[in-house]
Amino acid sequence: MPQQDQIVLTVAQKGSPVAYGPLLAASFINADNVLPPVSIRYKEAALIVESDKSSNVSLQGKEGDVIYGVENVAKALAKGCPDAKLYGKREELVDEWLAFSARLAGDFKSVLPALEELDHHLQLRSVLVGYSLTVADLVIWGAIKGSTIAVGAIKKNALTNISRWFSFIEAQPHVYQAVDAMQKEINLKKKTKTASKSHTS
Amino acid sequence: NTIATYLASTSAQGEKEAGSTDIEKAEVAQWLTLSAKFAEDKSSLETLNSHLETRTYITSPISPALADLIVYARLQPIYAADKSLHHTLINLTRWFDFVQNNESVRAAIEKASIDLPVVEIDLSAPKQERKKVE
Repeated sequence: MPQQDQIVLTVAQKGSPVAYGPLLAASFINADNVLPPVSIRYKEAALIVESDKSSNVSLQGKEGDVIYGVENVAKALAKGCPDAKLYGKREELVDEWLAFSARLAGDFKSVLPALEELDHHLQLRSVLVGYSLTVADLVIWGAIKGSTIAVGAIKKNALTNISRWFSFIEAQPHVYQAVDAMQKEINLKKKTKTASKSHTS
Repeated sequence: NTIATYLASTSAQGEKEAGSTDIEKAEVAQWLTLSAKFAEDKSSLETLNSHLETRTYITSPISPALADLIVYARLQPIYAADKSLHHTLINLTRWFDFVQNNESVRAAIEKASIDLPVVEIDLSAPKQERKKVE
C-alpha cells in the first residue's frame, strides 16, 4: 500500500489511448532526485473507473484526493512539482497545447487538420513552447504515440516537422525509459498469467 | 576558430562534446569545414539546412554539442546582418534559434564574455509546400 503522503499515478494499461503524457511527466519528476517521487502503478484495464470515460489515468494526491484524465493529471503533476520546470516560462501557452491534445483523439478526418496545424507550428520551433521541454511536449507526444490514426497520418502526409520533433522527444532518456518500463510491466503480467494458467491445467 | 574553441572549453561538458569516437570527431570536423565557408559560399548554408530537416541538433540526438556551438558562433554574424535568410533557410533558422536561446549555451557565452547577442527571429513561418507521399 502507498504511504499516506505519497503521490500515486495510476495508468490504465489497456487505455484507449494509453495515457503516456502523465506517465512521462512522472518520469521527468522522478528523475530529479530532489523531489519526492511519484509512485507509478498500472491497472490492467481500459479505465480506472468504469463509468468515467476520461479515466484512462488517475492521480492520487498527498491528502488522498483523486483526479482523472490526461489533461487534469498532467497539469496537477506539473504544478505540484514546480522544481521539475515542466511548465517552462509560458504557462498559458503550455495550457493551450494541453487543451489541443484532445483534438488528436478523433478519427482521421478530424485528426489531420490538427496535425497540419501542429506541423506548421513546429516549422520554426524545436519544442512546442519556448526553448525547453515542457509538459505540453510530453502530452502531445503521448497523444500521438497512443493513436495509430495520428501516427499513420503523419507518415502518409509527410509531416516532416512533427516527425523530427517526435524523434527528438522520443530520444530523451526519461521518455524512452518510461515507455520501456511500462512495456516490461505489461509483459511481466502476461508471463505470470500464462504461468499460472499452465499450472492449473 | 578561437571563439568556438573557447565556448566549448567553458561549457561544462566540453570534453565530452568534442566527440569521443573517431566517427564523432570526423562528423564534427565535417561541419567545421563546411561552416568555415558560410560567408563566401551560400550553398554551404543550404547543405546544413537540408541536414537539419530531420534533426534537432547537428550531431547529437538530444542536446547541443560542439558542432552546434561552433557553427552557431559562425552563423550568428551572418544571421544578424541578413534577415532575408531567416525565412528562406527554415530548418537552419529553427536550429539557430533553439541553440541561441538554450540556457546552457547562453550561460557559456556570458561566462566567456563573448559578444554573441541573440538575433531576433520572426517565428510566424510562411506556409510550407508539402510533398504528398503516394
